Amino acid sequence: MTVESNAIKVKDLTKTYGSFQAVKGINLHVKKGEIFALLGPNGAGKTTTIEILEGHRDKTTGELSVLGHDPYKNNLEFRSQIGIVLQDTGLDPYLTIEETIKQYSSFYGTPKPIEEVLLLTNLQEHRSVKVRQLSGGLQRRLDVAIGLAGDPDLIFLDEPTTGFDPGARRDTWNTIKSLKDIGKTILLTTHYMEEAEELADRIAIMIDGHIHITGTLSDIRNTQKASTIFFQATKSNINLPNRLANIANISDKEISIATNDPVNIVHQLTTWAISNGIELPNLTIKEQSLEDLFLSWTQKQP
Amino acid sequence: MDSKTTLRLLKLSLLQVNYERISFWRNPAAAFFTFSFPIIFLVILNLVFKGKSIEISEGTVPLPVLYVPMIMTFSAVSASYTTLAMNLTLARDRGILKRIRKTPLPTFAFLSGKICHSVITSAILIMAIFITGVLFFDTSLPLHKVAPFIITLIVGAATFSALGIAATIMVPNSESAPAVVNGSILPLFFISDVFIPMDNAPDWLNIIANIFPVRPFSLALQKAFNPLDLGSGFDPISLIIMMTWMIAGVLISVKYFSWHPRI
Repeated sequence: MTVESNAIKVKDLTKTYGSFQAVKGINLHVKKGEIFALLGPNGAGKTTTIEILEGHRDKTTGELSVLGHDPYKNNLEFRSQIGIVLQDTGLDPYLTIEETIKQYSSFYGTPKPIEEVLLLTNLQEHRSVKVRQLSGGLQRRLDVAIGLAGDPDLIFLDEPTTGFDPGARRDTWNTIKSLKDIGKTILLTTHYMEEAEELADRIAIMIDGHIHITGTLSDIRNTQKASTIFFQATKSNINLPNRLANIANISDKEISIATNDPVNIVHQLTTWAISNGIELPNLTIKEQSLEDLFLSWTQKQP
Repeated sequence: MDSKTTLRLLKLSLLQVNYERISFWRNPAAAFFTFSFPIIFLVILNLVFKGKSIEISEGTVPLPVLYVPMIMTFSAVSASYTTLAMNLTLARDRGILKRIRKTPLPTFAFLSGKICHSVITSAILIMAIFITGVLFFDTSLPLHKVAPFIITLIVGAATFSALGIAATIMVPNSESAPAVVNGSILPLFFISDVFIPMDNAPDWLNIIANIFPVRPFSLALQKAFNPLDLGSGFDPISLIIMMTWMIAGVLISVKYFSWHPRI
């Protein structure tokens, strides 16, 4: 018997609401112990996907296995092993943070000790504040705390920091990283590139119901033209040799070449410039952030 | 189900009752009116009809003999049907139900926590009304009618809890909950021997009232308090009507209850 190394496996998953297809046949797997980010703009189908994986919604077609279960069957064992942080789930406004965590802990056979949950989510000082008095950031941390209460193996985080100020976002990121450190598998959705860059081991980019690309950040950079070489255009350097001119973006002021092999291109460029006595003013190599890539993809969409 | 599982389920249910209780008392205005409203009703009715008697089929009785069980009916139905329907709709809209759904808390423990809390609230209310009745309105409950009285209350609380849960199905969202929930129960109160005796009402209205479960509940409680009723105090037909509604409420809830906010 082989040990299953994937927490989540999805094959050709689709979801149709009436005549609208929200998820158009996606494939993905999430390995145990990794942080996997499903990244995409609003309306890409991320929340639908994560809700199918949690068992809140049924799929239309396709195959999926989450910790070896069919999530929609909603069996007790499955529910004991997962923790969920959604965007639209509420809490009793009159209970305090500590009471709320205690209440949710009581649902599980082997919960995480309350103090550990409070510590991980940095809520110790706020334990006696009532839910109705919490700021957005604290409420989200409490959501994460409840997701942890049962000491789950797999945690779903649907847009964990949407609407946060930078400080609160940083805090939540640290919490998420510490969850990975204690061996949890995390699937998060986000529309913030920097969040995916900061947290995720692997990323899937979802646009308009399709997964555009999956891999580690460096995989994604490698398969894309992830670096750009710039220099200022002059009368002489505008006449690039053909093999460079073909891939360059030439304007009156600036010449740029997008590439996934910047060393080679710079070598060709500088060899040509030196041997012909041509200057390349302000020669710069810029690595594209995931955000640049992401924007270029989303803008390709009609 | 083995005894260990049963014990755990019981413990979980009790824990939920406790959180319901904490939450309930942290909203003092709501708690105050839940308890004072029926007592205020009783006092006003007594002021208006002080010293009056009323003719019923068995003879003439003082009015409080009717009013005390009527207000008990009102309180028990409000505390179970109205409270549960509102509370669950709000919890559904806030996404609390959605969150609970994906935890290992069994549905039974979750709902029994809510139901037990409303039953306890009703029980306290009924006690308060009972004591007010005995102390100020000379009503009494003969010893042999205590058991029928309590059984009727339990059947009533169970029936209106089941219907309260089923009622969430007709409520689209928490903003409309007061309108839908009160709209479904207030007319029934008026035609069901809860605020006014129905002896002079037209037959067709009485027939309608008898089909729904509020009037049977009220009549069954009145029987317990009626000094001219020399029977056991049980009203089997009323109990059967209520239990039929209870079963219908449970079946409808099992089939159509929604854990997700309606979009």
